[in-house]
Amino acid sequence: MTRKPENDNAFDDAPIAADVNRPDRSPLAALRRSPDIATALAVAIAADAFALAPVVRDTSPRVVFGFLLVLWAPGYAVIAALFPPAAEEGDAPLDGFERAALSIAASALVAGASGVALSVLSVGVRPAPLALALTAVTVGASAVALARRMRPGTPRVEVPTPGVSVDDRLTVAFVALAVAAVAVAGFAVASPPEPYATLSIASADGSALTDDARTIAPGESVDLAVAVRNREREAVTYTVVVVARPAGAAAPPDASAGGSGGTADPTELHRFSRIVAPGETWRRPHSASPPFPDDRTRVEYLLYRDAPPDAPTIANADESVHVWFTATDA
Amino acid sequence: MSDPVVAARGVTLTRGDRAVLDGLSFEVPADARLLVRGESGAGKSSLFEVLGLLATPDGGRVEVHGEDAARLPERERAALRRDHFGFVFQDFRLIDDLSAYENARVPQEHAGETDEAWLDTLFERLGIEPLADRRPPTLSGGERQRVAIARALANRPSVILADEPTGQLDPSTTDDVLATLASVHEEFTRALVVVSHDPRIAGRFDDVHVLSDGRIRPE
Repeated sequence: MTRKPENDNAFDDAPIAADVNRPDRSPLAALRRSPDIATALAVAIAADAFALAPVVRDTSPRVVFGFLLVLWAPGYAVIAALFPPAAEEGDAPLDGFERAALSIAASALVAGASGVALSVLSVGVRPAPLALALTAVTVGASAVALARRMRPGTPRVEVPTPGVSVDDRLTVAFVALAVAAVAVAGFAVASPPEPYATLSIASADGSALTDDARTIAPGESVDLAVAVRNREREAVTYTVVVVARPAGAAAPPDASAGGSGGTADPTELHRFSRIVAPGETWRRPHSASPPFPDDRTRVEYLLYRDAPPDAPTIANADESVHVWFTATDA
Repeated sequence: MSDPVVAARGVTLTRGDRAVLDGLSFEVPADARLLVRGESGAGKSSLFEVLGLLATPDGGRVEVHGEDAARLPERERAALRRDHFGFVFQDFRLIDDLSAYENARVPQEHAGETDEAWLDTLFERLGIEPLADRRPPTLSGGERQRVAIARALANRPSVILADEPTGQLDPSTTDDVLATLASVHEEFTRALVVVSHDPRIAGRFDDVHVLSDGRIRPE
């Protein structure tokens, strides 16, 4: 199982060789003797700083450190944890090229898996959470790698494949990582995209109204609030058009392309517009006084990115919610 | 028994051809902790809506602190709802896009008075302080219902009306939410009316009433 080193990769052999005569086995000392791990950690921390810090987050180093965080640091730490350097000279598990290739593949896999996890957890795949997730993986794997370097006898990841060369096994590992990365990416692509904005309405007592129905007398108004959350990565100008559509002009509630039939004309009650920062929720309290040419009127909240069309409807809105009002005797 | 904060007197309500509430009379004293139970379709939710001024009865009176409010204009009924009632729904009805704290603050914003010290107290007493910045989709059912209870108490209402508040919760969380409602009643002395089909929760209440055939009677 011994293997001649194919280059002088200091990351593989130097730390353990230097460890022989050193009694200091603290984590800090291990980090000092592992400049490769220290570099991976520094990259992750710098990437976080450039992703989060207000003054520097829009500067060009963010791209460089972000690139390194997505395609190198976590994967390098994971591979360092799985394949600790040689305890004896001549027993290096990976050469520099293999370690670099596996690091990139592992990083891509970690980044993909982190993105899926953030999406599933409803956090959203945004730069800051992704950077923090990748940093967490980098820190965790680095801790394992350092611990294994402090105990040189710890066995490496080994697959019992008699008669198969180390190169073959590494090729298989690389292909497996690549396949896994592609699978994760495929899952991410196949998953429904996150909506860019969400829209909701609430009554004055704070309770959300979802396909709800209220009774009011004709001519009365009701206090409501509309909320729009920007889930994009940039500030967006949203417009909310509030339309009262009499029952005769409204399609059934389960017809998402409703609002095109009937003879009674819809009435625009309000039009609100505002620039909403990424991640911000814009709330707009208001009063609505729907007209009642029929017994029932559907008040629709139609959300548009930028300018609404001439005839706003549920069919052409980017998002919509509505509440029914039934007329009672005044 | 104290004076009623809410009372229904001879209330009738028809849905389709069916009299859901048929001359129903019912009082909620200021210190009440009572359960209204009934089979599915007995009209519990209709009673909840009528008592909470969410629906207008066909006949009879719905008094809030002695004043008939059943046929007030919607704007005045909304103001009464905002100031005197706290609502807790089976499906929580939280706004997903707002944090837990922002959800609880909505009724105060509608009232034009934000009292964050009171909200802080509520979040602390309800054990949801650590959840203040989280949005509803990331919360469990029990956590969401506690946020909804905080929202119901935001404007220091006279009465809390809860419609099947444990309907979407597992037995353990049901006990937890009922204990929370009981502690809210004791600590803040709000009248508490819970409408539910579940007879197993009756032991948590001072009074239990049964709704059937459009009328209500003590159990």
